[in-house]
Amino acid sequence: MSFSPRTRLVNPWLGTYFGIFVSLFAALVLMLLMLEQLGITGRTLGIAMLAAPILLYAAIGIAAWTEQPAEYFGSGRRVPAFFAGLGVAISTIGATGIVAGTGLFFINGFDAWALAIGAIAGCVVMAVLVAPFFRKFGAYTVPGFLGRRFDNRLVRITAAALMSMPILLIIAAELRIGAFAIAWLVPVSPGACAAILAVAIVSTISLGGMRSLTWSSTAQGLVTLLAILVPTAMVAVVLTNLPLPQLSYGPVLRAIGRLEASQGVAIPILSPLAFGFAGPGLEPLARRMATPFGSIGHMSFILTTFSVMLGVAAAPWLLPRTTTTPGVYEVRKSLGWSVVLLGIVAMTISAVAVFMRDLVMDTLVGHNRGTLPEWFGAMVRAGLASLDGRGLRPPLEAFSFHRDGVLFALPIAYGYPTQLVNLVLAGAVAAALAAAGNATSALSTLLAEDVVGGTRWVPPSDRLRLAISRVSLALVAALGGWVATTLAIDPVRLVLWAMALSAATAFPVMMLAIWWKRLNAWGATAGMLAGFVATLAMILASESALIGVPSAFAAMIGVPAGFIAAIAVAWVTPAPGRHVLEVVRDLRMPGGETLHDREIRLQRLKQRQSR
Amino acid sequence: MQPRERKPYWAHTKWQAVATLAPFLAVLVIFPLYADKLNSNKFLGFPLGYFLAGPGLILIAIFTIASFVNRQDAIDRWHGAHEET
Repeated sequence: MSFSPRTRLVNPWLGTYFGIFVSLFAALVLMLLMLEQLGITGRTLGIAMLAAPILLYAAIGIAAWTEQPAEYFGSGRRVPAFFAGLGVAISTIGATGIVAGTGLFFINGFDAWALAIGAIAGCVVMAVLVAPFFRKFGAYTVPGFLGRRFDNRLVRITAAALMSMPILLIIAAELRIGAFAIAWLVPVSPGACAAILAVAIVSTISLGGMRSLTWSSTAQGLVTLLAILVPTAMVAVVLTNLPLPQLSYGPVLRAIGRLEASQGVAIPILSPLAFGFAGPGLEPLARRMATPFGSIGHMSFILTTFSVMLGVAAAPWLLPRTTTTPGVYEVRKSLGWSVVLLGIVAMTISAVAVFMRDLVMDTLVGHNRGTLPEWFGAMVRAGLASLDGRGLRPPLEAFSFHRDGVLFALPIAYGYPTQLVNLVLAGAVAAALAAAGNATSALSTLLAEDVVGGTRWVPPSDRLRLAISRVSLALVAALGGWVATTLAIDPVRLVLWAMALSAATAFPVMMLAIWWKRLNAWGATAGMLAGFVATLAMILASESALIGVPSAFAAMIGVPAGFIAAIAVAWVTPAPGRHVLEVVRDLRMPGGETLHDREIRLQRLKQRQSR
Repeated sequence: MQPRERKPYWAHTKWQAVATLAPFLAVLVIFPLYADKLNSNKFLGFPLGYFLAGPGLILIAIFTIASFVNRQDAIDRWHGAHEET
């Protein structure tokens, strides 16, 4: 390793610290496993598996306490590429991707790849088009970046107002899925589950802001990876003799395909814009696993992929994470790590779905109704599966499964101890905490920096700045918990809306702000407004059944509207001034001082001279 | 960085972005559309169409971003636009 000012900033003990954390967590899981074998009942184990990791995350977050704005908002810009990449990956996929994603792979088969591939491609597009330049600029929020890039406060306020909406949707979705997992571990009401999550988030990240968030979500990301990799690898050893489920589930998948063909499972011909992803309820298994376009049309598949891709690429809740890296080169590298980790997660959850489907094919389909295995009976009693129709030997279509129960059903169905189910649940809670914490932090920074402090360029004193930010963090967490408990909408749908809104509002303007010098403040404002209004109008029209296009494709109109409005309005209004052009010129070059720091230094100098 | 290097640096960077994204976005659209036809073949035990549209695209994404990081860093160094090390 070359010894340079940038590498010297990085804490060399990070690997050791997280090695200790992973050992602690593994010790906890093994200890509870032993206690379970010794006869301790499930309730105590569930509470321990929920509370102990949350206390560990909170301890990490509190230990990263700070009073300096550069640490609080940007984690001191010394997070190595892998850790930043892990944070971005776990915040992108979240608990929605892991819990509901597995169910979508299980029920809809091939078509669920649209969401997974969209998220992964989003990281690629972000690394090429947006993130390195955003890091060179060094702003802590997307509206802060846009406001300074156009030297205009209206742009900043507009961006903050419009972008808070998708972030709030993400918080609500993650808290809902996280509450679902907590309710399984500890039997409390959904409102109490959301409150537990919100309190855990505030106590973890309020003292250290982005610094606490970075290190606690690294721990949460590691827990999530362990929780989905370990049980799946155990099943894979049994089924395929290899502990590498990601690459070895192919033969299992083909065997399922042959059984489906012999059962005569229908291959429906859908309209290109059909959109039939499983909702949060019991869904019959009517689709073939490896055959494409069984539940969504081929146009829908491409549109979903692109909507999620553009939504991730300019996501106002993910981009702030990329400013924590030491430099532009590390940003690109960290998103490379995100792609690798997202790929591992996507391949693992698709393997979970295939193994689960294999078990359904093997032990349920065509078997005597009276002799179905015990785990299926337990799932039916829990309301996570059902068996309809008559006939002594039910076909595949007679079985219905709950989308969000599939991931947790795998260890139950393979007869593993309850503690392993709790491990998977703890992983889902960790993913929910990481993703919801990330979005909460992004929204609170946006509120504190761009709305409350957005009227002046020079920030207030450090103490006041952090106090405002901490108060807004508590407010945002409370608001998110309230929205999550009152808004009874499917989390997957909320995430798709958030992606569509982010793609239409943030992507056109972020991309043009970097790649097109001529874009001025008027164009940026018009672009954001047009994209947001078009997308929101389409979502509302689709939800109230005014138009027959699914609301998940709202970005189909919103993204072109954003681009066209931004370019057209920028052309008919005056070109940006010299100062703005210089900012664009500098933000395109990786070398040199971080622009945000330079601007603030110059502003402070000017203020001191005028005094 | 020399001021006269700015234009060639940005042109180079633009072409690198196009060369990275264009093939990637093309396979992103093409592979799922042809998945059904390819499914009768097999690869690593997977149906080929399923493999290409899922795990295969992930591998292509990893290759795309790794080569992009590498090439863009070479471009930065060639034009003297890289960060001080």
